[in-house]
Amino acid sequence: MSMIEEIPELLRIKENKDKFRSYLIGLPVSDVRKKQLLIEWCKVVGVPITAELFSEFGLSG
Amino acid sequence: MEGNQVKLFPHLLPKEVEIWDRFLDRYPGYCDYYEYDIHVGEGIDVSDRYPKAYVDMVRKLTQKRIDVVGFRNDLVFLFEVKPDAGLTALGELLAYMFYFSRKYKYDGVIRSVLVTDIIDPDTVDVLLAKGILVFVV
Repeated sequence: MSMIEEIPELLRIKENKDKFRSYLIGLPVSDVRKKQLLIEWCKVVGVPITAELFSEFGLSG
Repeated sequence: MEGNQVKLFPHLLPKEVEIWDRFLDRYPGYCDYYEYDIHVGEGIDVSDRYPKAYVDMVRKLTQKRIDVVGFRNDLVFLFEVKPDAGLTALGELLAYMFYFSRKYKYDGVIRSVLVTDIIDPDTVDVLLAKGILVFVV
């Protein structure tokens, strides 16, 4: 299973960033795994990875 | 087609061309225009040993080369295009920022940008900490 399949299809659009954030924050996985999923989400929806975005998702540093 | 693309994007390897093509497709208009294969740094001087034609060739071949420089309004973006990016991209981008600023004495905002297809969270962490923008395409 590719990583993107771990993200519900509904959340794979940039307009649903807030919903994706709520989903990701609530996932019972490590922060590293969350970062991997966020990187994958950025790739799929076409959003650059920035420090601000990581911070917004509570995944800084 | 691949041959033509390589000519359009000099210095980029075929896999890098694929990545750069995807970036241009996914982020149209990100910059107003792009320049490719920008030579920076001084290179190596062998003028004490070889004729001028050879000296120029060696200097060009040993200069550092920025894959792509993009321009949007007053912003300048230094792009490194790299498949399966790791920490070498960080060193290259930091160096390009230094060489570019020194050569062109540009006093506006310059952003370093990595465009890749695969990257791990540890590498992203340090790139973001250094103010580098990351596109995964």
